[in-house]
Amino acid sequence: MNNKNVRTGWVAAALAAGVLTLMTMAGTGTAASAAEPDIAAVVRAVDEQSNFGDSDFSAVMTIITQDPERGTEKMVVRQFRRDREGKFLLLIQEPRANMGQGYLMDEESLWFYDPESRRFSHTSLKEHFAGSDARTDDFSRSSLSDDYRVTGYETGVLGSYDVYIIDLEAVRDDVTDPFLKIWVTQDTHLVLKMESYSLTRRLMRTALFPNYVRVGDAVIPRVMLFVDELVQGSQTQVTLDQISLSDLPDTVFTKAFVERASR
Amino acid sequence: MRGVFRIAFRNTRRHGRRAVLLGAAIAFGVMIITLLNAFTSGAIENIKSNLAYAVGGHVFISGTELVDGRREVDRIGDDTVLRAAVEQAGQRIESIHRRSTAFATLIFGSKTAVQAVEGVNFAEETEFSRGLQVREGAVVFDGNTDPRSLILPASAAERLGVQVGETVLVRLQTVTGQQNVGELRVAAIVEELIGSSLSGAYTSLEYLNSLIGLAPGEYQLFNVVVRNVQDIDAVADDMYHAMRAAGALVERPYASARSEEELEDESMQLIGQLFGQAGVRLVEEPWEGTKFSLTTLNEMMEPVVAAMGVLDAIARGIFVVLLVITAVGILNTFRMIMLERVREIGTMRAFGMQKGTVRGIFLWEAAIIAAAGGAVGLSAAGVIAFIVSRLDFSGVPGFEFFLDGGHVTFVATPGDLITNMLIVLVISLAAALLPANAAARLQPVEALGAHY
Repeated sequence: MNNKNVRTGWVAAALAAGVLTLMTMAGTGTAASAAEPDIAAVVRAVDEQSNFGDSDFSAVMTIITQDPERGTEKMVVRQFRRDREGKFLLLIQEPRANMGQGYLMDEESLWFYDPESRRFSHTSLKEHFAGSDARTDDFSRSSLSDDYRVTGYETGVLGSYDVYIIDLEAVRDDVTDPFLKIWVTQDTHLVLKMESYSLTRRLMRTALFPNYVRVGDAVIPRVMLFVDELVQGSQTQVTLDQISLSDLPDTVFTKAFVERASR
Repeated sequence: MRGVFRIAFRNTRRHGRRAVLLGAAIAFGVMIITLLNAFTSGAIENIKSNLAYAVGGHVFISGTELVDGRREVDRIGDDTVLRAAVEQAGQRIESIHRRSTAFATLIFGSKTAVQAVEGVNFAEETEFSRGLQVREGAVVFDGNTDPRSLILPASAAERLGVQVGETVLVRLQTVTGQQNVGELRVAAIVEELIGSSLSGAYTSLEYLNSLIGLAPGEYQLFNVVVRNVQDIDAVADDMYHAMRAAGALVERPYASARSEEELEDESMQLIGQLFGQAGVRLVEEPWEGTKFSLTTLNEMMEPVVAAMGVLDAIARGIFVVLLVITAVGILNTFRMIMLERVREIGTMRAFGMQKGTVRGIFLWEAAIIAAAGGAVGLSAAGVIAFIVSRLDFSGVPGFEFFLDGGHVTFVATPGDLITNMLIVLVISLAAALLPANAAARLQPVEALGAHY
């Protein structure tokens, strides 16, 4: 074989390899763009499937708080929600010392009712609920897509689930947790884990949602575990029972009802 | 008159034991009421002084701004109008303190302590550390001081189990309600100023502002320290009018007529602003710029003063009851004296003494006993006050607020002293009036022939 033919052959092979590489890259790019998830849509889906749309919701929550100083405390709370109007009511039934206390969300105002003084006072969704590591807004409708924007994500595994690990940043300066990192199942869009970070990017709280239950069109966590990452040994477990989507009377979300219920 | 007084004085000495007993009863009542009045007056002074130190001034101006046209946020960005008002108040003002406050949770391992944390501009408030009783560490703030240094009250340090040099986490909310966490290094542990529940922790204004979301130069409270506490109200009035004249939006929540519920809400809001609990509030009537709220220590003290006034009134009521009981004794004693001296009275009347003079002698005797008893009571109160004020009560929980450096202060006001003595005098004279009148009405012939 003469040198000219060899050179021509190498050139042809190199060209073919280059074309093949380009085609492969183009193909990969196309496949990748096709597989690139819409994370913002994933976050919206998280909200949509955990809110109750047109239904009312009621349940009994058992809250077990472990505090290194106070020990273990148990609280039983009756929860009522009407997400379409942004209303909810939390009525404490146990322990006896707190029985009758209530948190009523009336459109924009959150009220705390003390049966001893028979007075309503303003409180905030940002406050810890009854001394636990859960906050009052943990029991209201999910609004991640309204309050946060996606700043990044990666795929990963949590337990045996394939998840998106999504970084969120609050879009307003009045959102309680400035930064969140959530672990969302890729197939069912359920939040399995949520880390809350301060403005200084310090991990403040980890929330785990190991158990979900379908309630009508919604899928909500039946068990929630909140771990205080700042106070060693402090955590709260919330378990939902007696879940119902039955319509609730309008009077449930009124102060008068709270007062009557606490007697 | 002098003759009547001399006779009365001589008669009082003649009935020494009775006079002493009556005088002692009066002295006891006067001593108690004087001590109580002086204690409440002194307590009010101490509360004012302690509160002024704890919150950094006598006149307090807070500012709120609107965010997004609806949310009310506690901060002062532009304080031009405040500085101008201070200039107008002139030499009556000793100093100005710019501060921010947050109601935070301090965390050390598994221990927590809820604590008001105040941001202090240590470069401006050079006298700040003088009022602190340092238990451990050092309160020295200069250009090399770590802005994350923390001055911690002893009760919080004990609760956390933390020592000087160790680092605590501080969890708080920004002025817009977001959660934030910082780190503070304990530079000093100090004795409580005004009780464990109200004593604040202190750090640099710069660092606290960065945690609560305030920009450099912003702060939350503009506190004015006056040279003379008598000028508090006048300085507040002048500053208020100066700010209004400059076009600032300023209100005086305590000075305007409000319902009890409104006042309670606003006092809770003011307390919240002073101790960092205000949070974010929604408004219904928006405004432009900064809305200022001006209040004074005197206005904040009104409930305390009122409560002390009730205590004073109760004490005075008990004092009057005690005196009325004593007055019964005076009445009986003078009745007995009158009966014993019937013939003496008859003799004096026979020699031309008028009824009024006879009455006057008895009343002067009662006045002398009252005055002597009152003087002894005042003296005893003074001695007891002197002794008690030397004792150290700083270890008594919940009592620190009423003390000055651990000591009780007694302040006897002339008004209280005069009022009490007048009450003693009036009741004694009233008690002696009946037997005095009876003695004056005695007929000389009957009196001379009487046998008792």
